[in-house]
Amino acid sequence: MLDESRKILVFIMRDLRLLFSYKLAFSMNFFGIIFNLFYLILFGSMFKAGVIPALGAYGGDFISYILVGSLGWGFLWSIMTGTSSSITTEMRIGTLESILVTRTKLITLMISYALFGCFFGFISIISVLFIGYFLLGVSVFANATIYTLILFVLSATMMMGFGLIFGGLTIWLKNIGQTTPLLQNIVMFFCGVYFPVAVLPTYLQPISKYMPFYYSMEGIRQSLIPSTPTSDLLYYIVVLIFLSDLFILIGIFVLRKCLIKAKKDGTLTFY
Amino acid sequence: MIIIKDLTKTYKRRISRKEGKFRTINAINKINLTIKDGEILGLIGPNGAGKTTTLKILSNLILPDSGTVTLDGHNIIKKPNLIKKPDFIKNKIGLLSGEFTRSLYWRLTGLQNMIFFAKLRGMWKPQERIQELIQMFKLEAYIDEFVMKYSTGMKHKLALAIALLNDPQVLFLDEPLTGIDPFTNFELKKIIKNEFKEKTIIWASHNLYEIEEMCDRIALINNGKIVLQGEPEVLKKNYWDHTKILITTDKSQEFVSFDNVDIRGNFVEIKTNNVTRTVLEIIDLIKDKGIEITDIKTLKPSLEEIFLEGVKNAR
Repeated sequence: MLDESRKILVFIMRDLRLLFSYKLAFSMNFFGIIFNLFYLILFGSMFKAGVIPALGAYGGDFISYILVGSLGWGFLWSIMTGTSSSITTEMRIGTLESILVTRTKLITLMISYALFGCFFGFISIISVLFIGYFLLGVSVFANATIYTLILFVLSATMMMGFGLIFGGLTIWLKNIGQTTPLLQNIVMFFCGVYFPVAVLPTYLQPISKYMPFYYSMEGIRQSLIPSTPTSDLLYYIVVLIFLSDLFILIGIFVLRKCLIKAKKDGTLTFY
Repeated sequence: MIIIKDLTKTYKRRISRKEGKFRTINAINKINLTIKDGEILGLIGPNGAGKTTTLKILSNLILPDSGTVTLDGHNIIKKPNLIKKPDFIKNKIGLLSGEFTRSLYWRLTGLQNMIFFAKLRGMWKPQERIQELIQMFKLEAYIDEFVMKYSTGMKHKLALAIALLNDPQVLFLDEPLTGIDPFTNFELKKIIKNEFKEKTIIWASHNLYEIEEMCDRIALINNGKIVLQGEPEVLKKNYWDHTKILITTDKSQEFVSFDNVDIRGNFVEIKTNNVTRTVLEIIDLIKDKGIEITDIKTLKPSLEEIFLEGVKNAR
């Protein structure tokens, strides 16, 4: 168990080394994030003078709304896609086989990918917050509390569960194509990433409640509003505890089944 | 000791999407092999014979349909254990996969690759072992370079060094000398002969010369079945019961009356079970007809001929 935990750090170090070895791509990633920040702030500033009734429950500031959505979802998304994209790369370059013949468990590998996504997402958020605050005077998470952190951690754990599911499916099916981008579009539509659920047609709004990601986004947003009662935040925390446990268990189950299937098909290390 | 018993692996391939029909391919068909401690077993066979599948099953990368494989009495191919507790087997086994250059991270240095894979094997202080392997494979000059700058031979050495990091008792080598220059080939063979004396090795290859030179015993695999197995010399004796007499002469057609004769231009090849009697008959013919012989020699059977014969018989 201890060995497996230490290996996670070994994987993260390796990923960092590989990331830094592509210097241009690494720099461009950050330029992309910063450019995105400028873009969102300029976009949001158009609505500054007007009143947006739909955002009343979130303080009415569109810039903050859109930045929380973009940063929060971007962070959670990088955890989930980290697993399937990394396992695809590993299969494509051919190193998955050499990893699997060592004493490393596949779940350790998957968790490492997700944590690297988490780490990278965290660094991105910190950079954006830093630049946003010092250059543009935008303070998105100024009202963050311990509840915000708990909700982020629980959401990240739930996304790790999704990561295990998509990682497993990638091992079995090799290329899951547009599945994750499609999921992303659905989530962005229903879960209040760029606009509140209240903007949706009334008959579509109940669908949001069946989306696990809704509780992440809504919980994080509510935790940033000082007037939100603690009982409301506890509701989101309890729901996310349940969802993170559920999806981690489903993730482990799916990963195990897909691993056995790929081993039976003899395609474990192929792409 | 590794004992492989009735190892079978089939794949189903769809042949008609409309009718939902499948064709069963026997990748491995009831393979039985015993490999003694410290022995090098050469697994030879044509492409697609089942060599790589066998090694991947033994390395826990493919699940067999049935059969057992025991290493020192422990069954290592037991489905639930295969997933849950593979550490025992993985500690004892090293694999050099066929696509060895793809087993490395090209954007890391040789040393970073070695440290990474050592830690994945649970070696948290691997420096001493890594230095030993760097010296053994003469990697000193390039060890801090990115692997993408290595030649194929260097990548090959590094991949083999990585397979040996935990000093495994058993090594599975899939085409270990394919695609490298003669100098590196010679170097690696020397290392394997000198340093791997106590290791149990299964060496899969279709290069018969390499197998004959390096292996104590060989097993010929074709269409997923072991067609024949044994020590190279014993196989030659058992599976090739005749000797070839090769004569070079301008008057080759004079030999047409011999049994089992093959005449091609100035070359006459006679297969015989009784060399003495046939040579005496040749001498009589030469004297009677006044034939001038440029060259005459007997040929021992080569492993290649046994291989071709074995594959032919198996079809």
